Amino acid sequence: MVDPGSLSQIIQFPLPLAVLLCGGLALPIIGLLAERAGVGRLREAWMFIVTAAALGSVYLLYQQLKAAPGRVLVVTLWGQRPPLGGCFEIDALGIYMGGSIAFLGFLVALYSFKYMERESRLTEFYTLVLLMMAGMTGIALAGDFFTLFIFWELMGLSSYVLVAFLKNRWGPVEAGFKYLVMSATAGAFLLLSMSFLYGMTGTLNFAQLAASLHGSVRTPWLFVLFSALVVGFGVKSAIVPLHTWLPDAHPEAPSPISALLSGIVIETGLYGLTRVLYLLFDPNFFQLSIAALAVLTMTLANITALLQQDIKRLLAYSSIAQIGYMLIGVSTGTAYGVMGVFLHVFNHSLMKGMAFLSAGSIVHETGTRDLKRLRGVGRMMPYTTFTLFIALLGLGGVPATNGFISKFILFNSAIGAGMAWLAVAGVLNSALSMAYYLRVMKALISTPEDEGLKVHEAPALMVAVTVLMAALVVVFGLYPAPVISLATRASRALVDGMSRYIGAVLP
Amino acid sequence: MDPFTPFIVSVALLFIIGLGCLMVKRDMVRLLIGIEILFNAANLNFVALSLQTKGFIDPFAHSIVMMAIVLDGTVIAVGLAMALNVYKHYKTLDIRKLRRLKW
Amino acid sequence: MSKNLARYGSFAALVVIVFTLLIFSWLAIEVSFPAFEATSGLLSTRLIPLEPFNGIAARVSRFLWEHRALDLTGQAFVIVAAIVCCLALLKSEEAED
Repeated sequence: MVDPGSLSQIIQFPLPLAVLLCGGLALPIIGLLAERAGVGRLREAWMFIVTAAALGSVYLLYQQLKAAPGRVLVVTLWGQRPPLGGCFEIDALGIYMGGSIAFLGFLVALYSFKYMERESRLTEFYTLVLLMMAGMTGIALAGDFFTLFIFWELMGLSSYVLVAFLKNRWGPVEAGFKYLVMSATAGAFLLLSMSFLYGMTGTLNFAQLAASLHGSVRTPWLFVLFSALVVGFGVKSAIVPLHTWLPDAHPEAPSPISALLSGIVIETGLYGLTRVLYLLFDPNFFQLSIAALAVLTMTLANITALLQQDIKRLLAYSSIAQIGYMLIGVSTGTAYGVMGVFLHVFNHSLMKGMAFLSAGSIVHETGTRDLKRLRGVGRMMPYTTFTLFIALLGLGGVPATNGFISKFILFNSAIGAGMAWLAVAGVLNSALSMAYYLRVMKALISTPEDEGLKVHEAPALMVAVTVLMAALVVVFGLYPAPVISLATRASRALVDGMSRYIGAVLP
Repeated sequence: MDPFTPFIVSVALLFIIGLGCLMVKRDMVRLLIGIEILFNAANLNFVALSLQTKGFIDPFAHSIVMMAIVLDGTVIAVGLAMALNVYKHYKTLDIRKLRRLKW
Repeated sequence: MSKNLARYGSFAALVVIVFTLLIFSWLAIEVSFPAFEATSGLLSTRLIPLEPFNGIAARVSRFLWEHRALDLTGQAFVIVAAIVCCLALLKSEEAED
């Protein structure tokens, strides 16, 4: 049995991150080999190995974390100590996010083997997917604001190009450029807020920032800092006044990438916002403004989604609405509410990932995203339509799916924090959202007026992935205890375990 | 007067110029230049704040600026590559012609 | 229609710019920035003197390697990602003419 203290000195890079980065570095070489030597499926095999290894190494890291004193691991390169050096500070919340990322990434990689096989430039595609996952994992584990920013840019760069990947059509390129300009502006806002933080405290380490800013005097500069932070993280997580890139970028991206973007990238933005807000401010400082943003986000996104004719654009607006539900939990300021947020992050990554993958199967077979032209397609693609229905019911919050449980916890926590109006707004929006989910279902199973499209069921691998996810949604809806206990541990590490988080870095 | 006020004022002015450039300009390359101005405003703030103690500078802020310059450089490079692709499709760099997608 | 939309957009931009200008000028004049008010004792250990002016660059780069090596490694991966991005965007496809 190795002593955990010495173990953390041997391992200098968190294992999931190291696996993903090295996998991403090696993939161009392997892609070259596959093209030159004519070995088919070599890239896909490597992709499978790397994503599976990432999933396994998150589990190993979790075991390591359990053995660590105080349940916080501090990992640095070459023994450089924080708070001066950059570091990874891994707590239960970081592991939880890393697990969600690796899980959805694994499923999406499996799906994209079949979906993307007609495209060229597959080497770059898989490399960028791996680097994007590495960036998200780095954000989840970072213990220093600037380390977070570097991985933020890594995730951002990869996702801009993945949105614009099908560059011989005009839609993806235009959406990608819009996404790039808005996200880069948000990055500048983040850098500005970092410079203000540095000016106030002389450091960028999360633990030291938390130690020195908690309970400080509320000057107007604190409000400037807060709004710069909300703008910086809010563009990536599509909070409503800043959401305009999302309904363009998510539908235009290839479907596996839409699933990754909607399922986990915007949640990573929300994770950054939650982490930084809870570390820097007292909850009653940001409670009201975040609650107002939550109501605005939910309402506007749900109303706009009602008007959409494009199935993937409708799902993209539904993602914005789900971000609104998650903001309810952020605004409560209690461990229970934050538990709801991160439970919903995992559940939403399953449900929205599945919804986009099923919609992607339909688009892949029919070649259209218009709901009017998709009438009656559901009768010809029974399995895919079945999984899409489960996903939509889960997103609407029907009991016996996991979406019901996390939404229930979120609304309950709003009542517990004394903001019953927020819970009422959430329930009303949830009911409103069922309207457009039911519209999609009706369009898919109704008889077409004219001939209609003639299509087959999607390929077996794509169907298998979505059916697996549908099974998981129902299983976690009926037996949510394991995920809830993990999410509870994660939220306690953020809200109640602040002193341990600080104590791991500062003696 | 606080010795720090001129720096803060110039940072705020640069930031507002960058935002204005992003909102008013219609050329894609100029939008990228606007992003660069925003990043440089933040970098200027770092450098100015590193001079806070009289007679000494803080290497921390300087190293942050070193890395931030590279990060925004990569963003601009990818943005230019994307603008090239846009030009292939639309034969123009005018952002107003790019409104084929709904908002 | 689109012409009206553009005019409306530039008007909104003007309003936003003037608003932020007002806020920042008020802040800069009325409330001095709380510079290094919440620092701990750690700051003084790493300061480098301004006097030998040409020694600053060497000291800063030594600080960069001695304390921020993790960020430099991450930044190397960002550059790799940018290279792969440009390759993916600029490579000509078989389907294209």
